[in-house]
Amino acid sequence: MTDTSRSLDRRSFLRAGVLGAVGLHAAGRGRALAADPKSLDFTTFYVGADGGIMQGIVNRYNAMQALAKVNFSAPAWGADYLTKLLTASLAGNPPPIVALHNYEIPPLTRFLYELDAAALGIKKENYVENAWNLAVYEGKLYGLTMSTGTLALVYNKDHFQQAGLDPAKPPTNRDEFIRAAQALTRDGRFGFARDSAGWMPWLTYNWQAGGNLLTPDGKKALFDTPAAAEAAQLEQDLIHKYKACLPTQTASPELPKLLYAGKVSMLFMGPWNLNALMKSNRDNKTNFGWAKMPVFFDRKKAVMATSHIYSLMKRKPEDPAARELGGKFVAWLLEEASVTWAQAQAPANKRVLGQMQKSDDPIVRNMTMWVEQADYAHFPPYHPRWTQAYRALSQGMEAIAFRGADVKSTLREVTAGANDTLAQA
Amino acid sequence: MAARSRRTQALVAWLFLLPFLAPFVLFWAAPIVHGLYLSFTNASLTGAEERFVGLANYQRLLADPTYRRALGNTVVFVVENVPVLLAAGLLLALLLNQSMPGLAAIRAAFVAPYLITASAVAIIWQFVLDPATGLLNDWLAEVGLPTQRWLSEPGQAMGAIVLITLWWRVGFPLLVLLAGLQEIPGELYEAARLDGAGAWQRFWRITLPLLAPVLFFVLIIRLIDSFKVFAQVYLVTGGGPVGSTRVLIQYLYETGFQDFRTGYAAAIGWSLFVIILGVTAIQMRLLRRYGADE
Repeated sequence: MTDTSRSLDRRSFLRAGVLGAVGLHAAGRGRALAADPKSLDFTTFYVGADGGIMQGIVNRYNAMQALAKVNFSAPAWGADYLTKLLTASLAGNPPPIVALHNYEIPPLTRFLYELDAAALGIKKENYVENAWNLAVYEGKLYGLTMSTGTLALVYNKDHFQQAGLDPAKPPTNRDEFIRAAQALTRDGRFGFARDSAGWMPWLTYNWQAGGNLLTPDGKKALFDTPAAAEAAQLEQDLIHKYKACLPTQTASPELPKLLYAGKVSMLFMGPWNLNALMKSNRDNKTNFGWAKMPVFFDRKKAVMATSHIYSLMKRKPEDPAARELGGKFVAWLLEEASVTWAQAQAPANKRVLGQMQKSDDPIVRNMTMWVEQADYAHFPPYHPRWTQAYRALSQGMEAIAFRGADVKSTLREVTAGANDTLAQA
Repeated sequence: MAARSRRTQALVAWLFLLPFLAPFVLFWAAPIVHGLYLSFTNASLTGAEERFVGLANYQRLLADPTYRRALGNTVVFVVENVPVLLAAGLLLALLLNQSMPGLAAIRAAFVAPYLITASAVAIIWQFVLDPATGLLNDWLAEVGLPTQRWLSEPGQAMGAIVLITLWWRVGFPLLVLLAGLQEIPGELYEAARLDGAGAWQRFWRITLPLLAPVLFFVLIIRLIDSFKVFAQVYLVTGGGPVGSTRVLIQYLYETGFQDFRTGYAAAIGWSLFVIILGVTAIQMRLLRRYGADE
């Protein structure tokens, strides 16, 4: 007969196993909780080479302190980025630290913390003023601007030489630009190619001609003013009258490929391309140069730009530790990492310009040109229906530029449609 | 006792159904009903106050030029894509319904693109059709033919999308029609040959009538799919140039997820549902009438 009082029955064995597993987990977790820094997701749209540079900056921050571990990511770029942030916010689980463009702040304000720059040790006077104000909405500061991205002229110096132009003297105004573009259009390549999407040259031309995009109250479009028509006419003339611009529409991401393939000699590009351009010059023996945006119209100093603003997002339930540590990280980025960031974008911190000019890194030294344009940078506006209104504008400009549609009537039609759209807000 | 046994049996049955029913209700039925409700509101993802607006969204659709244009572009795509896909699928099925060396490899070659994701298809065809650097224009230039603007030309862009869709999607009608052809008894063709029927007569009098139910099935599926076209348009042309390829689903996506007007986007979605339902109902009626005549 078996002595059952001493044997371990099945239930007891299972009970002991479960208790043991829970105990081990709890012991390990306790040790982990005591040791782990606060994990903070830092979500951005830096999907290109700038992402690698920001990852390096984040790694440096993580190595120098033990309170927070910042996890950098770049899940998307373009319209989908804001959608992802919005849906995550609605679910109560957005990343605590995000990079935003200026027009992405207003739709997200109810999910963003208002910032006290002074409490974070950030002084407004140290930053480019119009860049700082991009993060202010209805009188409140919702982010801190790390960098701006103005467009500049990028050109192929070898093509300049072949066309009898001086590669050390890129065009500085409209007439020089047209003459250069015409001279460069030869042997199956074009002097210039226009961006049809968010970076269309018309924006810069329109601002320089004294125009604007929306009325001061933001309720009506200004796409058919005399300045807008002059800007549109220039876009059309470059293709149809001067025959110096690629006459076929090319998607924005494909335009740099045309430059690298030698099919186009000049483009307007942002500072995020500088790293790749210099790498190409070094590794592939290309000979690209860059210069400030030419003055096409001299009524106002202006150039189209984008902005990179860092904000703190609210989570459910509220996470005060994430807010505090996130704020410290953002402040550190602006004050201590701007020079490193100048390898990728043009910092908004005015105090680092001197360091950049003396930097051993040629990318950082060359980035100063883009920083110098920031003072007269112009940015896309915010309006709840701006995307739709802009879509109508860009389609109208496609018709004008590529298909030679009548400038005034097309802009009038586009403006009427845009005003209907804006009124739906 | 019997009642208790029936209740227990019913409970067990529901428990077995639950793994399917729960996701079905959660991810399909409930969103559909909620979408219908949203279409009668001014709901917005940015959190503006949601109000019931009745039929205002549907009334706005009729006056919305972008909606009308997107619907028009969708209809153009359907009218161009469906016959081409059906005809190509039938022709390939007829050609491949015979013994020949390497038949399996040839069939696989036509079906393989069907397995490629939309993003890969977009990258491939942007590379092929780029007006400045694309393969196709390079080849045309090599043989002395004029290059084309393809995706940059409003008059050509939709045709290019139809071509891309044909290459990508012909595998499905090919497989289904091939299976249908192989169900037709060989004796019928034998008897027809003995009676002196030529190839065309055998096709018209035997193949087509017996393949008709399969053809109708493929037609219905392709019609529904064509009305829902989105991926290849959004990824290849983005709806351009000049909005010439913007289709209804893209407009729905832009309205809901870029303009954040979820109420209006829901109305667009439901309008498309009604259109597809109407077209399918007409098709089914024609099929029943055709079946009755036979």
